[in-house]
Amino acid sequence: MSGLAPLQAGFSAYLLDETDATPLLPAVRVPDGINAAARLDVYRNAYVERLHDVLRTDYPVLGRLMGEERFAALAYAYIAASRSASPTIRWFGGGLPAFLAAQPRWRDDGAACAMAAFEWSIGLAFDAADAPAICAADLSAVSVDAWPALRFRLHPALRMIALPHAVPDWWLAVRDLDEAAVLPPVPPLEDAARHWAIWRGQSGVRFRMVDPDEAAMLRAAGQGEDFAGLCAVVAEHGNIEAAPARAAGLLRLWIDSGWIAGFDQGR
Amino acid sequence: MTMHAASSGLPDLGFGLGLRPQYYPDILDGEPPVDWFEAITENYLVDGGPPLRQLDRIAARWPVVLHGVSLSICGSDPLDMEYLAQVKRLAARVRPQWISDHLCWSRHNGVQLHDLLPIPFNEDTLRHVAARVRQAQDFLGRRILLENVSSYVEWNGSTMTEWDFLAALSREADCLLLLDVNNVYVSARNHGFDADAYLAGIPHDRVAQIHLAGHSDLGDLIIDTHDAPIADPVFALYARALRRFGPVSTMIERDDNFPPFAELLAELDRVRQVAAETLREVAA
Repeated sequence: MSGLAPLQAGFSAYLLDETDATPLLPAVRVPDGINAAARLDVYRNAYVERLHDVLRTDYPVLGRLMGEERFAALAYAYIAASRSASPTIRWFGGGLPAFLAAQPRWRDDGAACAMAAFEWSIGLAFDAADAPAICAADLSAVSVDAWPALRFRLHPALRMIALPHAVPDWWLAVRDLDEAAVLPPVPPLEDAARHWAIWRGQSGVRFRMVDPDEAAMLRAAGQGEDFAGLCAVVAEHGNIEAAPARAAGLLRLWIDSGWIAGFDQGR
Repeated sequence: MTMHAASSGLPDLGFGLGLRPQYYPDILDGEPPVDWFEAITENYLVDGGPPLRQLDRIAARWPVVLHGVSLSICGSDPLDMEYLAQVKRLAARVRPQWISDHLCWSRHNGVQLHDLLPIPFNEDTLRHVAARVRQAQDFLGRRILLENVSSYVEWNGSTMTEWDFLAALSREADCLLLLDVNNVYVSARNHGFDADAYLAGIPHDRVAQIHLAGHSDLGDLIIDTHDAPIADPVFALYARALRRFGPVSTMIERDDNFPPFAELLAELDRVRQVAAETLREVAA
């Protein structure tokens, strides 16, 4: 195994558990003492444990929910099945929710699947791009005639997620409990998936449940629908006459929560 | 603080610490006696949010340097120019005193291995790495510092020592060096070489920064864990390094088993004392 590229190909295959150490052993210089395989093991163990640590950091409450042993089994399976493409290890765990939801061994654990998706969204909101948020006064200069064509830009840190289990409340209850604490009952399956908004407030990441009409309006706003269209979306979920007031009320709530980064008046 | 140029030409920043999120409140809510901070580049390659805000606040009050772990300067994949562009953007925001990374590879065939992996030290590798250092420096518009890593294997493909390789690389690529004294100690023990011969082989005018850290001694092997105070033999080696290199910006890395901030400050005080005594003896 001479040359830099073949050596690196062999070593990376070994680290990724695609081969054992045998092809590499002739390349390793062995002074007195510890043998080549044991030296190479340091690197393989470090690779796996470093990624395991990252997953524990990204999914601390999922770890509590699954228990240490089951979470470790999940983490090691995910590490074995995944390849990291980003120079920033921060992104390695992004595929875990989909992996969990697809694996026969874990996919029936709906609460765990929901928690994984929720915790990853929390992380995304934490270091999403900064943007100024508008305040209600910014809209005061907009004429009444212009309102139907107004389009809103959502803050980049705002996320919306549909969860079949009420895991956000469980997350809040558990995240600061010490390891010896008795955990509350795992949230059961709801009659229907609930929508949750996750965003970054002044004092950290926040979240709240949103009603179906608000979720639909938020989705439509994110897709660039104008205010008239947003009212129509809300109307589909309830009283047509009350829809404009309901949409205006929700919009005010969003603005006060810092969810709106800007608006455009129609052309 | 008045900064004096070290023999590398870069300023002697004094005595610093690795910037870790665990210590943000201690740093920002007080007036800790720390001269400068080293930020891990990748921790701040995010779009926004609290990490970047904290770094902005710290960079407004202290000199900051950026220390990367993903350049893979010794890799056989092409340099990741998108990554370098991110580093350059971060540097434009933070205005670091300098940018450093490691003499290692960490990516192959597009897969990130998230480790500082060793290379064979020979003429072919030297030419390959020197060309990549020049490419990175041209792109960043500044000289970079490369750090010696702790290693647990040496390759039979090596035909020169690590220190001869570093000396030659710094000349050929016109780059600077970040001398990790703990890594010299760890690798010397793991491979049975003479740590003082290592120091003697490093050109004194290329060392712009020194790292100190703790390690785990497993008997047969020493692992560079950064989870313990600096060991006494590493302090002793640091003193010998200062005799050779003169005053150089020095900092402590701590990455696990985090102690209260006051303990780190006390350890940094000990580093200051060792440096002051050593440099006084040299001057006498």
